[in-house]
Amino acid sequence: MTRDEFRRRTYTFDTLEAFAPLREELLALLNRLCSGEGMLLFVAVNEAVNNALFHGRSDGVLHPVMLVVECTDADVLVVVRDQGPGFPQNPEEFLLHEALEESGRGLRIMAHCADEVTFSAPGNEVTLRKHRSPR
Amino acid sequence: MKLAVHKENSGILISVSGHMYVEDASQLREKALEALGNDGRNVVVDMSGLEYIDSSGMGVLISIHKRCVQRGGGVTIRGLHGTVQELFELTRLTKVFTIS
Repeated sequence: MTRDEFRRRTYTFDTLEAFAPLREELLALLNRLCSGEGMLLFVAVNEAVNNALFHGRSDGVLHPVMLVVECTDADVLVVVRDQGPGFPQNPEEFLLHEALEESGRGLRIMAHCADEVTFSAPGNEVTLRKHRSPR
Repeated sequence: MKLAVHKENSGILISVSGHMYVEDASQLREKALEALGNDGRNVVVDMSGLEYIDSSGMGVLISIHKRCVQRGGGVTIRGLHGTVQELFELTRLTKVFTIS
């Protein structure tokens, strides 16, 4: 399948152990779709998946996390959706963490590595957009 | 990820290479704290072979650094490059650790 023929792929997993074997395939796919920028998008996606797996529990149970890679002529979009309660606070507040805190860097990394990051209203779905570079 | 921990007179040397994901970060924490023991205070982390680290790995490095600082030492990072260097600069970790 060429870069132009790819349109959409969906992954579903409910544990870190189930996601781990998918990382290499996902990185290869993003490298193919975003020439030279695939690693940066992968960095953002991995942070979003970590958030979903560690904070996306509902009633103490982690329901399947859905990851969708979609390609248009202009952009590559990756949607990560969990079934948890979303953010307890405005996501932008996470960008203000202190350097010596042990957690809270994921959103800053996503914002840096993707061209656009948008959250659903409750915060349990994040969409990462990367513009496709011309070949 | 490949992880090697060596005890030296002045502290411990940790070499990491490949991609450090959240499950690898847990392993790093366990091995580093075990090597530090009750009185170790200086850690050098060689990242010359590290291509990627996620925020959980950064958090583990911070926790090791805090432990060392409490004892009068700290963490030194060497071999920082590429995407890992970009992420360290973005998250200001280059201001936290000694970079050599």
